[in-house]
Amino acid sequence: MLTPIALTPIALARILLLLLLAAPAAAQLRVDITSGVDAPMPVAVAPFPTGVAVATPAGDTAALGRQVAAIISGNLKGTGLFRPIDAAAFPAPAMADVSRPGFQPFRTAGAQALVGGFVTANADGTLTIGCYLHDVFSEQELVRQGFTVTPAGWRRAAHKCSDLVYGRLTGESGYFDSRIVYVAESGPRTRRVKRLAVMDQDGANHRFLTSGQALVLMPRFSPVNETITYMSFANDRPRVWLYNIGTGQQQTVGDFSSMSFAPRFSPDGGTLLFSVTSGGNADIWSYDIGSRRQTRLTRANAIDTSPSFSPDGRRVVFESDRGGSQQLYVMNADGSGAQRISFGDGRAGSPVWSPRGDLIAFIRMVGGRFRVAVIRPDGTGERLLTDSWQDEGPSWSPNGRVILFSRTERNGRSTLMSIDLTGRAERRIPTPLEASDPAWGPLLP
Amino acid sequence: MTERVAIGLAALGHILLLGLLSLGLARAFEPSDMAPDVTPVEMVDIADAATVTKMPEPSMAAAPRDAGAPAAAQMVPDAPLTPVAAAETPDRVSDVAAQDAIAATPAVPVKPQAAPAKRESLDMGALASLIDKALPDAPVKPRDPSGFAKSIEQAIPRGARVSPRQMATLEQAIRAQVAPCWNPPTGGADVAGMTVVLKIRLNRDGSVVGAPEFVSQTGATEGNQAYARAFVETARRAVLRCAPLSLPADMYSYWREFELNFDPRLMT
Amino acid sequence: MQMKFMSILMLAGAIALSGCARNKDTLPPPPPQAAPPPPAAPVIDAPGTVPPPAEVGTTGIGSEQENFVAAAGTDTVLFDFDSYALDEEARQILGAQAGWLAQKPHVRVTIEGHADERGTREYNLALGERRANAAKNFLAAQGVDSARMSVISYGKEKPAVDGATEEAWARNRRAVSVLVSR
Repeated sequence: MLTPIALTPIALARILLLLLLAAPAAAQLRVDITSGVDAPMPVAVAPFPTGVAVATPAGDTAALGRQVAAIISGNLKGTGLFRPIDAAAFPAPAMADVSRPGFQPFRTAGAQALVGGFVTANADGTLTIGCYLHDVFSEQELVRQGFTVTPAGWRRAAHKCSDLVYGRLTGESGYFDSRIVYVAESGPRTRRVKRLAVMDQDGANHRFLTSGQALVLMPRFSPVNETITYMSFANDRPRVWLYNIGTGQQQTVGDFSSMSFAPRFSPDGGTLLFSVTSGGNADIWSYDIGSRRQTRLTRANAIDTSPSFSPDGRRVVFESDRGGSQQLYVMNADGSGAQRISFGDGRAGSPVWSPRGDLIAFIRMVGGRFRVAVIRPDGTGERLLTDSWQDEGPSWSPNGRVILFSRTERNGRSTLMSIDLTGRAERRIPTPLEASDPAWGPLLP
Repeated sequence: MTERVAIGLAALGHILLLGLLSLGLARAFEPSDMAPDVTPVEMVDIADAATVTKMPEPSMAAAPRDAGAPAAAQMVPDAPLTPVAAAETPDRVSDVAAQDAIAATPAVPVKPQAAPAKRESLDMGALASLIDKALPDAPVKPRDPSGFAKSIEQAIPRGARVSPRQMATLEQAIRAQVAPCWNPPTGGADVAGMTVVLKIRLNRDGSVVGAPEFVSQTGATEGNQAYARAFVETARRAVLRCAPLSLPADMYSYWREFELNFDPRLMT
Repeated sequence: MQMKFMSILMLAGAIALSGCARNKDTLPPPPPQAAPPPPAAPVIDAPGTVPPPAEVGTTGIGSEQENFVAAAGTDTVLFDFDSYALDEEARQILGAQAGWLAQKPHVRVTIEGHADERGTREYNLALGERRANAAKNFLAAQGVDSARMSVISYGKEKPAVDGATEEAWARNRRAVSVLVSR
């Protein structure tokens, strides 16, 4: 416990004298470390042992232990912040090593942190997956947690463990136990079939939500529940829809005689923002899901679209060509006080406010290319993150560290990609078909 | 052959379509506002994958190495202080405890009941002192003046004077060895202006005595505690990774004990 | 011989299918997917399990649309990049379309607006709507009753031609007048 001690005049004088004598050498050497290594942190993810291998519907527990470690390793690597070390570089831990690992082999392998755990089958048919994180150099246990899951849910335990490790080492919340909704595409471009599909963040547990008979676009997850909003051309009436993917119930949103599109939820999930056209003009409306009250927010004679709330729900970023070209604007949630925030070369569109609030992701169109970029809400600090042919439809990870988007190559092929805020961890999200318009859902409970 | 397949597919598709349409017709009369494209699909019931926050006992029972030790001792997630650390000054211990105390905040989900109550009260006090330190405008940590003076005396070898140039070289040698070991967290939410000062004690062979001691931190707020803690840990890790440091033996009195100020502001 | 028979069958199948597709706007909502793919295993779309979407223009009335195109020269007008202004050529085409429509007061028309791929999805939906409205307003000014006309925008979702070339883009920036029966 630190306790302030009164400085007596004598003590003070003594110190002053000493300080004078000590010059030029400082009283105590203090060295500023103003740079470090901007490289992924090496971590060891050891295969999760099992006491006795037990057969489960998801495979035997020994095999599951290896798969859990592989998922965690893949998740950490995909962040761009960690570099999992090849498991051949260290011995596989036994059950007894899990809570008290021998650190030397991991130090030798160059790991700074050790992720370990175990898989056991319980009498009631569930699995318990333990998750441990150790600091290899200080030899301290940093965090541990167990997860009980049905055998079918074992991947979620691996994702939860990944989130735990990520959170403890970075100090930020993770994003691995989450889902993505997107548009699966097939067929020639002139006769494209588009279907809504949902899958885990890493591409597992994929399933289609619509049959492909109606053109569907721009799905977005509710930040609070199992509802998505999207745009459908069902019956040649292009409208915004709500779709509860738990119950399968669907409904159109609002009462509009013309096209509504580009929907997005408010941070509390209670309000939708979207665009409605009228005679070639497009304005932004808000729609209260509970009361079904719809309010027009913009009135410019322009294309106002792609609205997205700030995380506090008080402001809205959107795009508009009211100034002559497609640019980003920020306004109050009631539609007042719109201010342009994007300048510079080319056009800017599809803005999405980060759940962290500090940045807005958008598409910068310049030189015929579409690139994912970020900018601060005040319009400063614009930074391009990707460089390809057409990158579109940015969507934030729940922790605001990673941006998901779709990439169309010049040959027309469309895939899902993600990139972290440092811009160095770009990766492809596997999908069974071509894909576009991804939207990241919230962390699962 | 290909035609046959094509016909088959076309016919199949048509039959399927007709079937679907007739189904759809039936649905059209349902008094609901279901959308045309409705496809109720099986959802993995995520609620089934319940998260338990209790500790998994099986591992403990199955851990032969732990057999002799009381299970409760194994359940303590806080790493035991290393013997060296425990032998350090009270000042030091409280700092370590303070770091542990952060671990006890809600950010960490598991806290086994096995944690001794006595320890808990200590943590509370340590946490308070840490929060105090974390305040941006908090005054420099008060120090024991007599101890301070003594350390300065020890730092100055009698009759020996070191030139500013030698000191700069020493600083540079430390910097050059520690910086490559530091993986500061980049791009964090509240990262601007976060720094941490650690006190390092070295043996003559350049190895670290105990663990680097937390001195002070800037940029920590109520909202970024988990990040602030992770930040401190990256600095500690950097020192431990780089040890032993190779420094001029004749200047040991200058690097026997020193402070490192980790400040990533020059990094993007 | 057998080949020929097969071809006829295929043709019949295709007509039957397109017939269904053509009427889709008057049909009740489509039903659930036949069988949801099993979770955990990504399922590749098997050809034939998904009905093809209606092609652009197939919502029209076949023979009338042919007559319309023959009389007006084309059912399509083109636009410059990021523009919904009607140039002289477009005005002439729409003028001819209006002339034909004046002869057929019972025919309704939907004007489909499209954009090339060089815009974001949301923006292009709005841009397609502008183009369709530009054509509709011109037709109205030429005497076609607005009540007979509707607009729909497909943005960049239904290009006329595939390709990332200036020529392909030019052909995709268009408004198409499609006759519909009600």
